[in-house]
Amino acid sequence: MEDILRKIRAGILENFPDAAAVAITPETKLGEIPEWDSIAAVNLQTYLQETFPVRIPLDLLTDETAVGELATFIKKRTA
Amino acid sequence: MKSAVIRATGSHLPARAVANEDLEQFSPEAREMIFQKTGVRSRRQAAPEECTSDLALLAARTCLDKAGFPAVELDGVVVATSSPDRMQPATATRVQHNLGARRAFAFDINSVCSGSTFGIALADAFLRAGQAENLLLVGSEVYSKITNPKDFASYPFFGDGAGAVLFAAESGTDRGVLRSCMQSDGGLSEMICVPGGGTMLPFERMDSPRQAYFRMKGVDVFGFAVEKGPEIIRRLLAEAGVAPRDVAGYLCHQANINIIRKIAASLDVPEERFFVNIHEYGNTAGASVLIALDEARTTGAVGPGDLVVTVSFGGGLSWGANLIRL
Repeated sequence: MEDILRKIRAGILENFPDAAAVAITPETKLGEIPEWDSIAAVNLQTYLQETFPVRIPLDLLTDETAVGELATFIKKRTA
Repeated sequence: MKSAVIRATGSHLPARAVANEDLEQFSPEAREMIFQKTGVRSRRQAAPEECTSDLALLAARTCLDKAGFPAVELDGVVVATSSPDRMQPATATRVQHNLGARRAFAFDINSVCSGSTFGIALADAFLRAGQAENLLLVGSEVYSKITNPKDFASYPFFGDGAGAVLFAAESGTDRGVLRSCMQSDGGLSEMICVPGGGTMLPFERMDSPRQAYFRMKGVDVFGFAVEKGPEIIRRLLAEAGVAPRDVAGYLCHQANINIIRKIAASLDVPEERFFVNIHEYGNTAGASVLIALDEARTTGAVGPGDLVVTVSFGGGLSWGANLIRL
């Protein structure tokens, strides 16, 4: 799980450079990431699908989704 | 009193059309969003060996051929581009050389997506001042090579292309560029930029090659465009004493169909007066207004004697508009 979280954090920092100023924890909501919007969400989707062998639906990547929930979704699909 | 009259226009779009469905680096649901959010169905992309001056040259040749105007008689060649061939020299110099415009001065202007309207204002000023008797203005962009193919916030929305206008100084006519308005707000420069590769962030200090790519804060830019687009058109028309409905055609920067609709609604002008080709070409940045001008004239959407407004907005931030009688 920690490895999944680490990779998600790396993807957020890669796609949202201003997120470096924010602590990304499992409780962080995607909508709290600086410059997060529905268009930018696609960049995170692309990164996650390249990083994990999992299809990530866009409707999972909402403002209210927490980073920890995303990690749990990926863990279940890759288990 | 001299006026800068449009003698001819031309455009060139690369042959390769890339449809939304072809952008397989993005998920199918994301590809559907492209049209929903912006109206873009397809865009043209330059071949790997083609650069900005190559597209500019073809648009320029088409323009000069339509006018039957020999390149050697050109006084000036100005290229509006924010995706130049190289950091230096000016892209316009390669266009000038390849055209055979041996007498002409040549330089670039970079006002990002506003390059076309700023370029029209500049051409008008040069011709009115007697600095030149004619001037070829070309807007040319190859954003497919300065945007990150994996960045959904930019890559799907842009396309490559070039538009050209030949201006000639004429006296005793009511045709030509009647008025221009331009404005900039450098305090918002981070909203649209290529952060790395210049002197502010040289290559050796970049954290990632991604910093050499174009980036845009789309939501903020949308808000800026729907506010400043109508505002500068109103200012332009008020200064000229023309009512918005007296304008036959609006040639608006093709950034997003929803921006164009909001500008039309704000001015209470029928949407049909706004020429649209974004669905086919995407956002061609500083070239879009000149491509639209050429297509509007070619298709008969606007014709001789018509009043037209050109309007653009983009990086800088910058925004501008011109009132022209064709």
